Amino acid sequence: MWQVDVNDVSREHDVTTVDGLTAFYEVSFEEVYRSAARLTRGDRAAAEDLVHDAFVRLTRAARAGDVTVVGIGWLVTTVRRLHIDRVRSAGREDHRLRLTARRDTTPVEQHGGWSSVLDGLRDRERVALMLRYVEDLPVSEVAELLGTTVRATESLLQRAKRKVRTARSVS
Amino acid sequence: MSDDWIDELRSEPVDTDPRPGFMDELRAELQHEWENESATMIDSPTHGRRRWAVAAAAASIAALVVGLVTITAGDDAVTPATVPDRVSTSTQATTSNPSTTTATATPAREPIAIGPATEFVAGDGVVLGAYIDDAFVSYSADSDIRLTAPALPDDSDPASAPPAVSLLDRTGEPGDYYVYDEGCGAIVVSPTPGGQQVGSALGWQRTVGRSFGTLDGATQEENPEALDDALAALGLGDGAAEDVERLTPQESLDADSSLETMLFRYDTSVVGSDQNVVWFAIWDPDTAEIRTIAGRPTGGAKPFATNGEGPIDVDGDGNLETTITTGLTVELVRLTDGATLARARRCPDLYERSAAIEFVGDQPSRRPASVFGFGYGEPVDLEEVLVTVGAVLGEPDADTGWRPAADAFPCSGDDYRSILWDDLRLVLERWPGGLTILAAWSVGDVDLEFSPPLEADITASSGLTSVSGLGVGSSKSSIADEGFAQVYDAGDHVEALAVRSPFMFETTDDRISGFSIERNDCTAGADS
Repeated sequence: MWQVDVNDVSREHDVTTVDGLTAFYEVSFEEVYRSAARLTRGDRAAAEDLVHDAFVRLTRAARAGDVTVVGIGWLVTTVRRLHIDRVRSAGREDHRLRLTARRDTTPVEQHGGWSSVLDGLRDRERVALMLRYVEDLPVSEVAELLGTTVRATESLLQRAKRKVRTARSVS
Repeated sequence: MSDDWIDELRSEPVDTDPRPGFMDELRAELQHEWENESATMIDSPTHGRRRWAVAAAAASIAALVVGLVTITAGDDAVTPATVPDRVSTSTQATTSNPSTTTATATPAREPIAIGPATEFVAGDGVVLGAYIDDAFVSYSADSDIRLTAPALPDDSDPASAPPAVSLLDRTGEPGDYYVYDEGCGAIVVSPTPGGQQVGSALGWQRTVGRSFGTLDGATQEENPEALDDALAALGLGDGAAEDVERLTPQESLDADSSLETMLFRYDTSVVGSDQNVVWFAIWDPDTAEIRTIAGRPTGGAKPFATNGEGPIDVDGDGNLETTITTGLTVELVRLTDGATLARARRCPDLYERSAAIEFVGDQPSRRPASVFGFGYGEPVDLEEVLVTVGAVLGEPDADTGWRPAADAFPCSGDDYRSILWDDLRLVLERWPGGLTILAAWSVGDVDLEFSPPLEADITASSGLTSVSGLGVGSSKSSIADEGFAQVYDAGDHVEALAVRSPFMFETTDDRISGFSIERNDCTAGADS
């Protein structure tokens, strides 16, 4: 595991040069990857894709001069949004981006059947649940990320929670 | 029941360590990205494979009749390759087999009737050119010939179908086909008398009397180590190289002594279409170079199809050609240099308004919900979308044009575009390389929660419905009869789910006022 200076991560970094970008990459990679891994629930390939695409976007934006100073929040938000977008497109990309895929992780049974429980949710519900309760984002932020209203998001979360409770009571 | 499961979910152990070496690889790539124009996107190592079917489909009849096609020379008027952006068919509802279409390729001078001895070649179901004085003349915008053929027959009048023509496939086997003008100037070859498309691409059809190259079997590629290196230089090293299908024919593609290798990458997320190739290239061991014929090695290109029967030598110069079919356009491409020898375009499928929407899709084939045959989340050809929808609804009422999506989540890709016809709104996303995805659509009330308005007013109803008639104005209760797997009734909002079909219906007084498939316009995330 990397040694990371928390203070270095939390501050904003100048990415107007390749050296600046690389330095930011060094200090932010771990946190960004961790965020992606949580979202993808240990699907390493999917997490790597998210991290990769987020950094590529940053690099392009920085090179174009669209982004000059950036903090880790920019990357984490980008990862979340990319993830949401991909989950929405799961039908065409589910071979590598399924939210609950566990190609490299412990078998489902050892986690109390979470994978099967979450598999029973719609992609949108699953993402909302993860953002709200694993990422600890407020509902308003989840709503923004999902591109919908707070009311609709609350409804979505209620529905998802109801399904989870039902699934767990059955199991 | 309590929500202690939330704590359980939070505390679930997740492996947060990346693959060894990933960080170094990505660092190097970012530095490369900084110094160069385009980044290498990491593609999944898993995808399906498609082998060319070197067909030997035996047909039984071998008559040598070609009387349907006529050629006229020296006509510089409209050619099939210059199909108008908006087809000249009526904007009224039309059937899938229009009976009133006529050949648009009216020759300006007396056509040269060429009869049974005439030779022509069709690739992927479209006539690409003919042989005049023993030379191949392409049927394209730049060519000097005009082809004419009978119009598609009237469905209601079987007698209107012309007689079958016996044509040869690549292997020389004969089969019965029907040759038509589709109604927009494209001369098509169909295995059915009604012109219906059957199964996958048609490969090659031709008249007799000309020797084509062959591509039977595969042999060991030459200098595979150098090919590995060349692929790696394109960002296709290690695992990514496994995504590249390598096919070495027994015959040289350029008539020299060495055997080239054909390279393919596929986008297996494409459903219900054989247009799933995103990169087609030739490895030439003589020059140790990879020559891209179409697409992009790292993906992200608009998917296309190569000829299902492999390349042949169409023009008799010893070099092989293949067809590249993208959307409605079929190009005849020479493999030695990637030159386009001919280009023709199919007419769009024509829809009735009452069958333009498929809400549910198909579970076994994973075909998604669709509008005018364009699937939700599927790659589409913009031009094909404009022509197909325009054939029924006319010119768009509003079109944002391509807008950058960089700051406009939840859309992805480089650009997005919203287009409005009456009350039908389509949202497209465009990725690097031109890959265009149908990301969303809505019909009716644009104030739908998941459907913020395009900057335009709806001035007319499109009247689009499913085959069963579900659409704007239908009763709320009829949603449940459409075959959705789940329907959530939340009052004025109804969410209905099926195969990749997350629809949101808006209702007023128990009548549907609009519906949209899940996604917002791309600016929604920023606006909300």
